[in-house]
Amino acid sequence: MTMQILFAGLLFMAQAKPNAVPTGLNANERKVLEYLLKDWGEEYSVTGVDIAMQASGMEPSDVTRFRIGDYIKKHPELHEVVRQWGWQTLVLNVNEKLIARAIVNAERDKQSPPSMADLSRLVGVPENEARSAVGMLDRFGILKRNKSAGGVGYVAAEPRYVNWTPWLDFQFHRMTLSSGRILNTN
Amino acid sequence: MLSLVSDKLSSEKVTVEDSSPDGTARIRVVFDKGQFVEADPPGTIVFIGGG
Repeated sequence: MTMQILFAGLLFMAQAKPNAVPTGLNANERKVLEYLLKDWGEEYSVTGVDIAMQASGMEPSDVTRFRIGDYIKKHPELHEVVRQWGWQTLVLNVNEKLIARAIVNAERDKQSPPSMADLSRLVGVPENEARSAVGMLDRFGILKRNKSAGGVGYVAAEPRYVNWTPWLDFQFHRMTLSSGRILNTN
Repeated sequence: MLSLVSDKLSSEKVTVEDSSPDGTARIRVVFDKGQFVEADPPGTIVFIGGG
């Protein structure tokens, strides 16, 4: 009985280890997460999943990025950086952050909502990339569909995203070093 | 970020991609060994130092 209790206690401690990478992701996805767990906090790093995928030698993939990002969203116990700065700034790429700003800042300032053509022009990406970015923001639950809103037909899913500037959510300071390292800082 | 550029990363050439939170315009600033090199768009005002 004593041994069973001791074993159960050790198992609990192992599961509660803050930086442990639990199951639920495939080997390549775990490799990306392990990269982030080592990178976060170094030089004030709040590096995102897209950068970690690139550094880990993975091809860009919104599907994979969403799987890893959704995992981070659901597991704030992974690292202090997730809890301190929020999962939003870690899972979105630069284009998605700029698209989010264009939509929610217009909502906040009670301006006409941007169309997809407006988003394309404002962020400097083709319309298909703007559409993908809106789709990703929807999948992460940052934007929600509202056809009566006009424009692209999306609004902020929570009040937090309308007045987002106290958080890092849609900010980025992306640094590329001559040594080859790429990181986001807070 | 600028303290990083001039301290821990002072042996590096560092390219910073940024944007003002109130807009969607992209800003790119380059530093080499802690020294400002260039900014794009060229009219970007870069505050360096303090005190």
